[in-house]
Amino acid sequence: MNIPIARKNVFQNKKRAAAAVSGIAFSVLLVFMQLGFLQGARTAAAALFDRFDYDLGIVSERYKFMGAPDRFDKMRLTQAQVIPEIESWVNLNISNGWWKDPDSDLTSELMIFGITLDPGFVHDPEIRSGVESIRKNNTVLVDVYSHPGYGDLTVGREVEINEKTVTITGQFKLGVSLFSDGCVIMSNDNFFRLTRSDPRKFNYGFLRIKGDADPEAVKEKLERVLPDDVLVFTREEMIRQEQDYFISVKPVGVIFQTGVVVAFIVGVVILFQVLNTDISNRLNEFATLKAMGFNSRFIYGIGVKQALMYALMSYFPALGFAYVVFHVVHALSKMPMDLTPGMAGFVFSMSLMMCIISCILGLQKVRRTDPAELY
Amino acid sequence: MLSSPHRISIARKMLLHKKARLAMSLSAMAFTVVIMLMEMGFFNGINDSQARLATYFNADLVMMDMRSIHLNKYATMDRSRMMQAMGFEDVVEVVPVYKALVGMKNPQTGLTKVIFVMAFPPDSNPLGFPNGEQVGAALKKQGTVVFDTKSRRIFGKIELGQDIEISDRKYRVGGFVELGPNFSIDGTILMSDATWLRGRWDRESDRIAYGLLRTRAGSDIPALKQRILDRLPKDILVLTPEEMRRREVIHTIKAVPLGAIFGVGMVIGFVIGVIICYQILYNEITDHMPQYATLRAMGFSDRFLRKTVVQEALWLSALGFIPGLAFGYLLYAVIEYYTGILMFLTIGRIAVIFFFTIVMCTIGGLIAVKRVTSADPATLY
Repeated sequence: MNIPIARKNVFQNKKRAAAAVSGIAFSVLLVFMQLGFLQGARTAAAALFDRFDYDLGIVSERYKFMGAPDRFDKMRLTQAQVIPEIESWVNLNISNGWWKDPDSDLTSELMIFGITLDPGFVHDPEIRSGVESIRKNNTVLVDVYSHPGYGDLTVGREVEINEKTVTITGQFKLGVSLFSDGCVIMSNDNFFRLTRSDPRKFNYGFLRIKGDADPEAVKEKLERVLPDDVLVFTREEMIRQEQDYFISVKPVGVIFQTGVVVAFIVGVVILFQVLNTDISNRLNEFATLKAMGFNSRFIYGIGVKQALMYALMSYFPALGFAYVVFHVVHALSKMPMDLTPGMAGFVFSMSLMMCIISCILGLQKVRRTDPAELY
Repeated sequence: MLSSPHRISIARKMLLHKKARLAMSLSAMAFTVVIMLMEMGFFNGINDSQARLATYFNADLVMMDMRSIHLNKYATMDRSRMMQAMGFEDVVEVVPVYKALVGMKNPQTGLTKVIFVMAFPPDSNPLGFPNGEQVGAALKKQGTVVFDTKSRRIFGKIELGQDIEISDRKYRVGGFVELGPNFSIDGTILMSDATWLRGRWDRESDRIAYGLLRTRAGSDIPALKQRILDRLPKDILVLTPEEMRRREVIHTIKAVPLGAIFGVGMVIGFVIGVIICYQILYNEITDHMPQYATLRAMGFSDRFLRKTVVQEALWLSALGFIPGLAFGYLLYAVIEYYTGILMFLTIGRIAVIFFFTIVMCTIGGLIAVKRVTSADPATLY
């Protein structure tokens, strides 16, 4: 007959078990939250570059990130076409502007994106379907994740951008709260006119290469052909460098990483404490088991099983709770909060680590259990 | 009996009975204090860093263009506003401050990154640097700049006397200050207005970003502010540096959901603290059941026992708070050093966290207290 000693130990005092589990669960939840925010910042930082479809991107050599993109001479894109693998290109431009809601007269900051009207380069279905509608003068697509101060964003409404009246002809979802209050997309013709920027200079060039060509190889060729005043990135590099800027230079990363580490330590300490108390209270029982001939490994096994049970019982509610909190935070702040399987897996392995560390620290006592001390 | 001079502090004795376990429990408490400190620290740190410039302004009033939304999104104003401000009786000096974001080449990597440039008359010390005179002397030389040593590393290692390239022109580094970066700017360069006006910048370079107003001692600043706003064209804003700082903080909080992000962390830290405190007290009570039962048998009221547990909770909050604060303080210093995020504690901020710690422990204690009143003298023997 096999007696589940570990389970009986854990559940003997249900209240205490519940307190232990909820303590650990909350520290696991905190780990989830911190990772979620980190992931959210990562996604938000590069969201724009994920909405378009391209193989290579060209930016100025002074490029830093979307908030400070700098411009390069449009000649560079023409020059790029000497490489036969280049199929086509478009350009994207960014400028800060002003949005005025005519109903409230409230003026807000605005990020204006000007794009070449080529749906083939647009990855995002909402933007793609809106491309045709912004061909006319003074028409824009608006980000529904813009600040509430933007007012009513329904299609057909007229608002003011840079003191010109424009019509909303479509919507999309992006979220640029890291950079501005909100954003719109318009055609490059409208962009250069409304922002009065120099139409000979672009912020981004997006290139498409012919079917079987290797982006890395084409990138190298481009770097050789083009002058030093531009940088060439593959799509992945484009997104990664945008994220790295926020995560490492700004550094958003360290804020949330610190949170993860502290939450992890708290989890370890709680789990250790629980194990330690449990074992201290049962030293006599363990000594009896030893006297009965069970070896130390068996007794360690009980401790490890208990730790594992605590870890698992904490992880799953934390996972469920995190899922709910992620949704709430997204709804409130429009920050992209995705609980990915990778994140769930990572936190799961962290929970196991908590379990292992606290076992190593907490099970020292078992070794010292001496049947002779029993009586 | 309770007021007898030989009163024994039962709460303290109960807690101190098992010192090793107490130390363990306190470290858990301390970490929850650290969580709350960190979350609050980042929240304040980001706000303070964004508003940092305003706190440095060495002036009574700051004048700027109406359309300036925050320190890093601003519009420039015409120089004539400055002259007009000079016309007010109480104003003794108006310091023009120019600013722009320009490209600076990292001398080591050759990559150009955007840096924040600020220019002003060399003797004016608009940011109240302790080494203001030195900075002023260095800036007086045409083409000389002063570099912020706390700028992010993307600009490379800059040494005194080195020539650096800004917007394709060479400038010599004549000194250093400590300002620090934030989420909008990565580094800062200072130069004199004369050097600035000779540079070829993107915008109309004779328009000023801020006019710093210095007034006669004893003038009524709010009244002066109102007079300026009334008499000058409506295209300007006039704020005290403190108002500017507050405006900046409010803007930052509104722009990014910082409150939500760090608030969630604080709440979770708080809940963990409640649970830990409950757990510590629950274990302590379980261990001392016979003692509590004896106390009851001796005639001590339930109220007395409850009070004992709550006292223990308060002891826990005090004992957990101190190491937590010490560790948090250390962590603040490390984070500030590595990230440039301004992390500092004020008495007020410490008090807030201490208050939360007390509330947290009291709640934990009140949940655990039920257990103590179940101590039954009959089960003693």
